[in-house]
Amino acid sequence: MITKNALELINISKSFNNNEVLNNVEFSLKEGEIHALVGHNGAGKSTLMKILLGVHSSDTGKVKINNLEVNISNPEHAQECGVGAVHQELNLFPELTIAENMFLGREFTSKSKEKSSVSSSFKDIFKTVDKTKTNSECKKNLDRVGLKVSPKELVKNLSMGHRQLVEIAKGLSEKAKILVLDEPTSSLSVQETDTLFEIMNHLSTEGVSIIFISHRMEEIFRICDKITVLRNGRLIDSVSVENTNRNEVIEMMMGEPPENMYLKDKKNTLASDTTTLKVDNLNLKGVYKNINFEVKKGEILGITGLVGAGRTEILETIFGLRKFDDGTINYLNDNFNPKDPNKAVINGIGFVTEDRKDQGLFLQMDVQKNISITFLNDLQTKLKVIGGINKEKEKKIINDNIKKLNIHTTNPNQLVTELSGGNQQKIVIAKWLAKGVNLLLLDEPTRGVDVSAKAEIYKLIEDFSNEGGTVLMVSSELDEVLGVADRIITIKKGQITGEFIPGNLTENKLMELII
Amino acid sequence: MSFSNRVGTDEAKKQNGMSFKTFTSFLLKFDTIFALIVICLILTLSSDYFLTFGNFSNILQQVSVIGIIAIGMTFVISTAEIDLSVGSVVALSGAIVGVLSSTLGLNIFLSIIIALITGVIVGLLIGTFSVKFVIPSFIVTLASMMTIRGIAFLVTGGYPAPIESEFLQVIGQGKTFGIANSAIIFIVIALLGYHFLQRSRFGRYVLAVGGNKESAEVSGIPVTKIRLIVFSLSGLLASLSGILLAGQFGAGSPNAGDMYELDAIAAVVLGGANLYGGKGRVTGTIIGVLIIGVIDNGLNLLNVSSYYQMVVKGLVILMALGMNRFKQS
Repeated sequence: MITKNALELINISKSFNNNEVLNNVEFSLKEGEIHALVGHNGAGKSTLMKILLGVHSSDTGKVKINNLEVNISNPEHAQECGVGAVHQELNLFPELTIAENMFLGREFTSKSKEKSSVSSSFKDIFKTVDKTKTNSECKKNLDRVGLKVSPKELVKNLSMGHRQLVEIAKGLSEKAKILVLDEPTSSLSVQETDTLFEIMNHLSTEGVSIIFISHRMEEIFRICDKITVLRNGRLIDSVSVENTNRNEVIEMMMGEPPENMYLKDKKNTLASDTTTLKVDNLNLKGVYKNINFEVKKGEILGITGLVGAGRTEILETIFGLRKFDDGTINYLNDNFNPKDPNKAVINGIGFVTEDRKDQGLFLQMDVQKNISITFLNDLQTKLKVIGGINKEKEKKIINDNIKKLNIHTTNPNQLVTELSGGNQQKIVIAKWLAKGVNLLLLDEPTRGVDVSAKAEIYKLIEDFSNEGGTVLMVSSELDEVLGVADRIITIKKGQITGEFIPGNLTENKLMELII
Repeated sequence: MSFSNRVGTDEAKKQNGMSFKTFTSFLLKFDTIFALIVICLILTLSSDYFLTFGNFSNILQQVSVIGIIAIGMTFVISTAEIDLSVGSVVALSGAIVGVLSSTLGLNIFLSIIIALITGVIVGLLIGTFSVKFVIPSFIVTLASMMTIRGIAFLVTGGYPAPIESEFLQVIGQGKTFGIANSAIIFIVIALLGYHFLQRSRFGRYVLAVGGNKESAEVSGIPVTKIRLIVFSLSGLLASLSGILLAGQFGAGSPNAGDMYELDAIAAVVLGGANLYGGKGRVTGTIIGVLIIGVIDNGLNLLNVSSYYQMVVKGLVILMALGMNRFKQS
């Protein structure tokens, strides 16, 4: 491989309000290299990338692109320097077409028809946009990422995977030679991930360098050439994938060996004979078919399958968020047909959805109010309906839970938006644990959560089940299902394809059953 | 010498800077209260009559109608909705009381109850339309604003319906211990509103629904019920305001309450509520209502022409809101 440096970050330091976020971090990226940047939430990855993208400026240090020192002052400048980014939360406009999105702010106007240059100067703002040219240029870039969709398609009609590719194509249309991909696979299905990786490999042979930010070890080892680990704002190491392994990387990230991630100290997995939930022949046309399963008290049942296989929809049905055509749900030996989530919650069911920001948290509220929202009934003063909330009691319960769940917050009145992803996720779980539920439905309980918070969340799930709680856990991370669940069912295209005890199952075998 | 001198000035500069900083942070923390105090101070200096018990009782009476509407509006805005129909509901309920009690000779209490129930039903219908058919409340209430105003004209035949009821006149115009009865009703409603929005479970649910409907639903909050209750509450309070206003005028006029929805919304937003929901305080709204009331009253005392009054009122609201935004950023 050619060993020309596409990018060098030298001695980068950055503090926010005397709070040191980066300390003398070095990072170098070769031309055509796919380079993983890993670390906990708060390790400094995103700050480092924001410096590269011109969102923040560094306090000290240099940025060199193609061996030339540059001083990236703002995002437009980063674009001119050939740095493009695909953010975790995609920045596309759903009501515009792919082509309009791609050339937003630098439309081809009728005047520039002859030339291939785009016009972004403000004085051209009233000129007619040349749609033919926009669409044909867009097509070229879509071809580069192997996306066979019309440039005239509205973005809202695209799958998450396709949107991801559109963002990459957009970066390429800006002539980016360095692409930053921030957790690009977190909402992609397995096939979409495969496609993305093919494109990444292809781009790397074209000389595009890629910085790949991810929490998923298997993906990093599959696609990347090199791994750089940050911890607490410091560079820990930069190693080639051939010279390291998964456990070593996790150890570098956490500062301690990873072996106690899944604590399998469960008393006896099938100790209880009481059935908490039994689902018989559940059908929902076009979504899932003939779903049968049973979960016992104190059991953790893992449900795994591809995105879109119907996993989330099954949980939503049990929780009353989604209707079903026919079949029966038996909960605590009673026929159960929740019309809305309110009824499910009253019956002791809690649901941690996969999207904590949109379907879990109240971002304008503080930690305390986010947790207590599920059990305000218990906090009311004497007069049931018109009584106020007993603030003392509320504070006490919240403080107990913050301690118990090890939620890192300065105080219970801190806004949840100021917390890291892992702590936010713990809050969503805390609101059900503090309420005291019987059955906990978990949908991707560790999405976008760093390794150490993951381990803590697994511990919470297991403690809950050891205390007699029942868990239904949907996850696409196979090692998570294998490590945490007592029993696993696999789902493919809305149908159950198998049921297993994790002990005698490997990830490969599991993979065969869901693809 | 010179050295120490310089240190002295530096120190002084520093202290000045500090006190300026604490002063501004104080301003920012109590921005709306501060705005209210400043306006009161200016008016005290410019008019001898402003700072008298009689005038304050007067202001309270004047703001009571808008105030009660604004309490309901605080709940509506906190759920990320809007209710533009309240001004028309004011007219309709006054008209109903007038027509039922005078023209048809119905018992006054029965007329009042029917008017209040009408307010609740209007709110419930608006809520149902908005929630069940997923139409933004802005549109639903814009349409109902016209419809309800039209019905008020139809009910009265276009003329104010005179109200002879002594009871309603006492409620609208009478005083207890020197404080207007309608002001007392406003204070009671404000206290109840404060309790329910800021201290009760219902209030938490309202703010949760306004902040994030999906999260609220997944948390087991009966989102639809909360939204319907809030619209009904707004209708009920608007209707109550209409009855007080009719009592103050001695007639139920189909023209009453014109543009009241805008004053109410301005008061709520002045009080620090977020039009995108999730944030709203009855205490803030009360201050917002008082600011609007004091400006109206003061400009009248100063004999400012009503054309200037509109301009000044608008500018003051803009300034107060600007301060609010500045604080948030």
